[in-house]
Amino acid sequence: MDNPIDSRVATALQSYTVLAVVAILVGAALVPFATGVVAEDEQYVAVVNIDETISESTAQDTIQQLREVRSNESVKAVVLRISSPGGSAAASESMYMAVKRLADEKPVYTSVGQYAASGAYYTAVPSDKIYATPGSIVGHVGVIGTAPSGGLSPAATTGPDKAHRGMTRDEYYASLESMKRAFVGAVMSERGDRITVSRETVAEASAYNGLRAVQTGYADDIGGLEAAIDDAATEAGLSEYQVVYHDPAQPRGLIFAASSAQSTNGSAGSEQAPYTHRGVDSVHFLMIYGTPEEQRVVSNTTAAGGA
Amino acid sequence: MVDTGVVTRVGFFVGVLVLAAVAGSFATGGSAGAAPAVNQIETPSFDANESAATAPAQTGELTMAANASGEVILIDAGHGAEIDREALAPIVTTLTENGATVQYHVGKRQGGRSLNASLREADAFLVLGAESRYTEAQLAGLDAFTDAGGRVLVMNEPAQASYGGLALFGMPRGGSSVTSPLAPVLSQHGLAYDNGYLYNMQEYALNYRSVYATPTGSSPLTEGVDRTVLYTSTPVTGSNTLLTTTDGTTLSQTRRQGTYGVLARSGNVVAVGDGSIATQEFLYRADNEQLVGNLLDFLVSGEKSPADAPQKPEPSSETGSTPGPEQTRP
Repeated sequence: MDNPIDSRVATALQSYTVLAVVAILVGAALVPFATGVVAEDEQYVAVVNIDETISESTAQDTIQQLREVRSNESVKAVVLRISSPGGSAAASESMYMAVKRLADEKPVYTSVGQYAASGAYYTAVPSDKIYATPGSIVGHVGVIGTAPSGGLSPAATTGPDKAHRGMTRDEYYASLESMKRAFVGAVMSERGDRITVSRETVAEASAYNGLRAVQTGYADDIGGLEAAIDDAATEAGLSEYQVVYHDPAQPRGLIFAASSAQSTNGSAGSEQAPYTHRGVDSVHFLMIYGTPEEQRVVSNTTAAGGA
Repeated sequence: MVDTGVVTRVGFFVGVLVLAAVAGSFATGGSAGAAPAVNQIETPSFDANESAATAPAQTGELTMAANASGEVILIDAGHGAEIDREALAPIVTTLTENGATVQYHVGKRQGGRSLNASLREADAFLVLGAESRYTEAQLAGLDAFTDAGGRVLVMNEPAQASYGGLALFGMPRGGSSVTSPLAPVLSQHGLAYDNGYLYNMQEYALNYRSVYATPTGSSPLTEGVDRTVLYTSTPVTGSNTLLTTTDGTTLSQTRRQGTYGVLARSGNVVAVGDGSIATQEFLYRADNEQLVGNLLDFLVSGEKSPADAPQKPEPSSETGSTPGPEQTRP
């Protein structure tokens, strides 16, 4: 005990403060192992419900949930239960990217309820496999633009395009076309060889029933949620697992508000648009099943808004 | 004997360690706590170079070759044709600059005079997007007008097009329209409009409803025209079809692909499947301004005789002393 170091250690170990610091450091180092042991015991298939019209706020909720199931190591596979007519174009694109990111890391299977149309199909398309039932409506790949009527606002503006909602009509059409190309391109690349119709046919925006969707390669098989869960678990190599259900977003009104839409009972919804202001008209791009009535609508599809 | 101080200290150490581990697990939220790795996902279709569409250039000048001095061009602003006079400014200006007079027939409901009375003073009649029926007297008057050498240019749209697309002249039209109210006159000249609108999913100008059409042969009406762009056009049939759409064009009603006639002439009557090319917005696409210039030449090149056809007497419904049509004089 003549060694000065030994004597200093012995002295230090007499101190409760030193003991506490060392214990906290060791305890923190053990945290990952402790949680890992817990996670290994539980393996989940997460079902994420998407049954609302897709708006920026619902997409935000769903994307947050998708991030959680992606980062949760005990979730081994994900099933999207989709029954949505689509919604906002930008929100649908965000959903697509979130699902694509998730599918890069875990098996993602989709079970279609009533609809996986337009923006909702965009959401589903990165899935490893899409199940539909004969009564499902699948596809409708296209964009609808709604433009307020009338010309220049009497209000003062700071530039010519500020008086035209930021774009000329040609640019409006160009935006519509760009979004369509991105959408159709995503469908073609994600579905790959499985899709049996041409790019031009996809761009025609047909909405297929479940049987026809399987024929055309928009969907993979006829089946319900149980089949999707079973197959997702098999894909993840799970023999025993639990299913956890998430319903991240509640149905809300749609993103555009037009006076006429408020009196209709179609798919248009009736909630005031979040980014509009009284007296200020805006352009909206929608990826949604159907065509709002009495709207000034420009579509880049033949099935939506056509005669 | 074990030193009680050592035991106490070991117990304290273990207790703090367990507390730290438990607190750490809660703080990180268990296994869900780790931040997910952010891999850059590949979305080729989101490549701006690949997918971004750009607005087409608008070029050219609208000019006329024919001398229009003294010619009176009557534009039908009745019969459900929602004429946007600002949009028609280029063609009206070109006509008047070349010596023609442009009049608008607004109909008796708007305080104008009868169509036949207006036709009597006119050398040519231009119909853009008419959708309501012409009376028997008016159709008879138009027959007499064309028989006398008066020129008629009909540029109609499919009635349904306004539902899905932007209405050509303002607000969407009502549902009680007819696709081709001038069918009785056109049919006498072997011309007809089909139902539905044309689109092309393979080759189009920014939007699938903007189809390309090219001349079928040489004609004064298509002189200098290489390619035109028509928006929400409707097929025109006739023995002398001068402009047809490119391959892959589809008719909305039948979904049949092919090439469709969109401009046909029969004597003094020309039918075009699209009125939008006459408006400022579509006039300067491709060679549209060249085609429209040729059509204006056609309008002012007739030889009407007798000059006051359709002559009186008219049915009682077509007579009466009412104010004249509005005029735009050179």
